[in-house]
Amino acid sequence: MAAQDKRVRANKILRKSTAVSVSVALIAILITLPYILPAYGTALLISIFYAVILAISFNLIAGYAGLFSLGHNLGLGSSVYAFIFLINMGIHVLLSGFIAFFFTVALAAFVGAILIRVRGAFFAILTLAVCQIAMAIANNTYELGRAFGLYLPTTMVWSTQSSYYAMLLLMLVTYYLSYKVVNSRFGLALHAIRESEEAASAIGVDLFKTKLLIFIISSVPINILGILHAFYYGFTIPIVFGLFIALQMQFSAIVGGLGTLLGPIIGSVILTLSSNLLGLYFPGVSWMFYGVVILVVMTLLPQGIWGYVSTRVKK
Amino acid sequence: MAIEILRIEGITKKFGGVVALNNVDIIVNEGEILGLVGPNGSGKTTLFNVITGFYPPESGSVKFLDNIIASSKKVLKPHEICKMGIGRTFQIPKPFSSLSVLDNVLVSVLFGRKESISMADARREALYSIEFCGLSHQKDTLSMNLNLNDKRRLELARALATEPKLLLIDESVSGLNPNEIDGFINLIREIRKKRGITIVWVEHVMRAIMKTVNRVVVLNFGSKLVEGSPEVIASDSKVIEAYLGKKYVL
Repeated sequence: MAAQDKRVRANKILRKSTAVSVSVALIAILITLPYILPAYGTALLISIFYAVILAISFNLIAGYAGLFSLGHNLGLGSSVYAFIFLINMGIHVLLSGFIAFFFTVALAAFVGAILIRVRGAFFAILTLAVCQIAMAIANNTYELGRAFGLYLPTTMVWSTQSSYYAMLLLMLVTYYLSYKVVNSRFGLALHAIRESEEAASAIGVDLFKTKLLIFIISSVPINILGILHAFYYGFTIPIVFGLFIALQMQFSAIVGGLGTLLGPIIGSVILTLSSNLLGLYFPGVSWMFYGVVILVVMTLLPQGIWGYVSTRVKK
Repeated sequence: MAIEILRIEGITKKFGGVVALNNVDIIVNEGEILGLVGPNGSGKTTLFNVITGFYPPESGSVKFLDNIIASSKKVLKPHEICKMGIGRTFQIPKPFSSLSVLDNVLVSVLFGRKESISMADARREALYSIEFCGLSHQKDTLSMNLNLNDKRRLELARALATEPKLLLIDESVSGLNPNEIDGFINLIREIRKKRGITIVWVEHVMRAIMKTVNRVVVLNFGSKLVEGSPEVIASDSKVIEAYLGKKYVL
């Protein structure tokens, strides 16, 4: 028994050190890539990072807490809009960033406190509705530029390289956050809620508090992403609140494997790469391929790619 | 003199036009095992759901130790009631399927107790509950892969790990074989004897109930029919007509 325990522990340490060295190598490669790749490659990687950040955040709330949000881009849109709006009011960049961030966190707390009272499909529909309301407001408010959106002063727009490193950093931090959340006491409560809300509350898990907290936590990376979006693209239009972005993060997380740490990353890489690269060579066909990938994965591997691989490895 | 741990007074619970519980009064004394029986739909599980905060009652009150935990005016949330010291199991087991047995019970220890606890202590406590319920050999098994008997034991282990003063057990042995039933009877006796936990046990398997409990309350159509010792209940003509069907021989 003791010998077996020792072997298990040794195995764990080995696996951990392999994981650490692989990730260090990967990060080193990602840091050097912008010097090697053509501009298009760097931009493509940025859009992959962008998708990964969205998918990890979505996975936190849907994969671990079982709350399927169809409006998770509310935080993205409201932080880009708030940030550019404040900058254009002449407020200092740092202050604008802080205000935009805290505004969107407060918004998540407010919206969350209302929406998490309902479950399942009702929750999904309500999140979608809130996002559509935000889009309608953006579309019809003169101060928010209506359909033309808001523009950052061109001098403030970051270079592709700066954006690359900022996005890379945010992606790593987001992954670390989700790792920490999933492997904490709080993560255990999330798992319990996902499997059975009744049983979880009967053994002392505060459903409202736990769900509200994950609603807010999962919006944080997206709120920061909104500010990076402003620096990188330099503008925003109402479609940022649209269903397409919400579905994209959903597809990425589901194709990769909901409720797994690596799944959302794998899903985002595959879907972003396939739609972008195929769009380069077969314009118009790329979205068809996107659909086919989703169909094939969902039919053959309902737990997603990483969900399938990890259960295989365990066996 | 017996000390009251739970006092249910005039509880009425309706679902639309259906009266699930009609003016029910029950007193549970500290240290006893109270059997709660009755035909399907007589309101046994509904009563558990009222006590544990899942359903608000239309009228009446539930008092646990010195606190009103449910009435028409005020209902504590299930997690608050759990922390006060009432544990429960579910008739249809609700394991956290993707978690191991140990992690299932760990949730109870970490969230179900009044005091916060370090992770190392929590693991030890969880393992103790698992061992108590005879699941040590399954501690690393994913709970979805357990058989019915072990799932029911896991329900008990989770409830016990919250350190309840009162434990509500909802049909732990229905669908089990005679051997497994005997195992459960022993386990439930041990819970009272070794841990000093008061128990209310809902069960259809009369053999198990009659051998274990001190007192029986019979519900029928949401109302209390009779209460008394197992011997009195088994020969009561109203109970025989409503539930037992023929005279139950102990």
